Amino acid sequence: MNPIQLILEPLSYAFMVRGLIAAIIVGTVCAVLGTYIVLRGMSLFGNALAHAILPGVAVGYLIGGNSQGWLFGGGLIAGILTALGIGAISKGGIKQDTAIGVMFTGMFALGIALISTVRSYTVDLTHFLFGDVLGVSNSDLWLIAIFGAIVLLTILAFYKEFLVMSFDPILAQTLRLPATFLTYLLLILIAVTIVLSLQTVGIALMSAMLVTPAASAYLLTRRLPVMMALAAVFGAVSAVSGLYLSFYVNVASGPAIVLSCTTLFILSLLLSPHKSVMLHWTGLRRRPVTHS
Amino acid sequence: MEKLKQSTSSLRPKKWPEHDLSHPILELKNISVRYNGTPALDDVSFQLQRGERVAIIGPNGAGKSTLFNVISGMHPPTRGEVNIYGNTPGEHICIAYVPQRSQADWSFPVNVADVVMMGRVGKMGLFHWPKRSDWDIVHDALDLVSMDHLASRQIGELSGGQQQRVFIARALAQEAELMLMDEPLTGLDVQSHEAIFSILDKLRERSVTILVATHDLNLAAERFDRLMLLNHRVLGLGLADEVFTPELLNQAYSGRMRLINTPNGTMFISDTCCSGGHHA
Repeated sequence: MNPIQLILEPLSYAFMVRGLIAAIIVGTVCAVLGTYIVLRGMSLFGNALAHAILPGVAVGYLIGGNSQGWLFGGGLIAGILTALGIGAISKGGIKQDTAIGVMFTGMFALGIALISTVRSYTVDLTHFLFGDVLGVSNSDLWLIAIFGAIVLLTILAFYKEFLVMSFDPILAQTLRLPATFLTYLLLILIAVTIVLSLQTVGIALMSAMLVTPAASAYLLTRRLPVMMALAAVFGAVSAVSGLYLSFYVNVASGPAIVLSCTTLFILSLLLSPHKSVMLHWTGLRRRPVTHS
Repeated sequence: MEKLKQSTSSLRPKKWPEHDLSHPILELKNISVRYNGTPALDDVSFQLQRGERVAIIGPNGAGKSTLFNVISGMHPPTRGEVNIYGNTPGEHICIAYVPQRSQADWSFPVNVADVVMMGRVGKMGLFHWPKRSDWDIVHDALDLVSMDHLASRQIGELSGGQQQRVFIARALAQEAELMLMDEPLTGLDVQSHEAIFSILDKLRERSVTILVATHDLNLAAERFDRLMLLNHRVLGLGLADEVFTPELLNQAYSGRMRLINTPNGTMFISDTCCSGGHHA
């Protein structure tokens, strides 16, 4: 088969086209939001939140079966409540790392327990954990597209405020920016993004979509708008290459997308003009501030 | 022109209070701050006039950062009143905090111009992008600190003195009238000191009031209009010879210092010099 045929063949299947569009949207939105997650050191939080939506998804599953509307709604409620809860705890002086660790594992277990009450749960649980992008229907696609657009537009609208809050929280205060509102808004955006990514990559691998493309972009540029754009490109390219890989090599699609992200990261690492970043990340150079 | 001003001011998202110049720019009345029972500041009262340059001296833990937090409106005092031109600080955005260099995230992907533009965000309002006038203010600020040629440099690639000047430029872009500077001279060589002070002189020409927390007593005595000795309470506020007396210095540093009489004068040696709690 020549290259053109290789590219076109999967596109003759409607489920592949829908899957590709969904994965590209998810890859892009996760990557742009992931820029803030990487810069603010929220990788643990992102992973924890992804796991914490499972009980909400489980309740939606028990009520509506595999209907995306119920799963989406359930996951969204659980996600927003958890995000606001963690936000509130961070202000209370409890050691954040511990609190997050306790909370998300407990919620994850609750979700699995609830799902396991259904007789034939294993296939559906696998889809929740690792994604089921080829099962995306037209209405699912609309849901993903609309919420994806909302997230991107919100980031655009509050771009400079999020920038100030992320770089210098004290400046945000002296400028009298609505800091609490903005912090919670960011947490809610992360929750929404996680829920809309559920069907594409699943809970277990979600945080990779948030962190890896942005991390790759960070290695290659020193300007924030460029970092976001590059991250979006990496996210979209990984989505496409992952799906094509899964089509031709017959591996699960969610993991294939994430492996593409990781490969791009390794390439970025090798090509990076800023090797000092690795010292920074391994903690050999002290980071002055971590905040959520 | 007046009509234009009136109509555009109603479009602005926030109405900041007019500066009533008959009041001193900063007035503290009986400010006390307690954190979990321990007193950080105890009955602090003083006034600053517009355009003054005042140094705050005191050991680590004396409450200098707490004082800055209260003045900027970031932390409400347990007791007492803070007035900026007669209003509470929370209504003003003309107060700029210039942080210690160690507090900033130098690996953040922003360049010099980006950081200075952040100072404009309060004035720009939600859902607005930087206008031509904002860029003019940013470049004017960078020009005053002699950094305009480095506007596109990533902040991690700057020297210590340059980093400090970027933060001052940001405070300028904020159109701040009161600047709180947290140990701006620590770790800078003499040449950089001179650069900073020449900037402070230019700021004085623009009637900007400056409050600097510093450990360098000699510099404080030579270069500032008034000095404040702080150790939870204001032990002295005035000129160097009024404030730098052995009794007051002893009170401030609670015995963690030595005064040595030499033929040339009195030498002052303290063992709590720099932030981070390291002893010299």
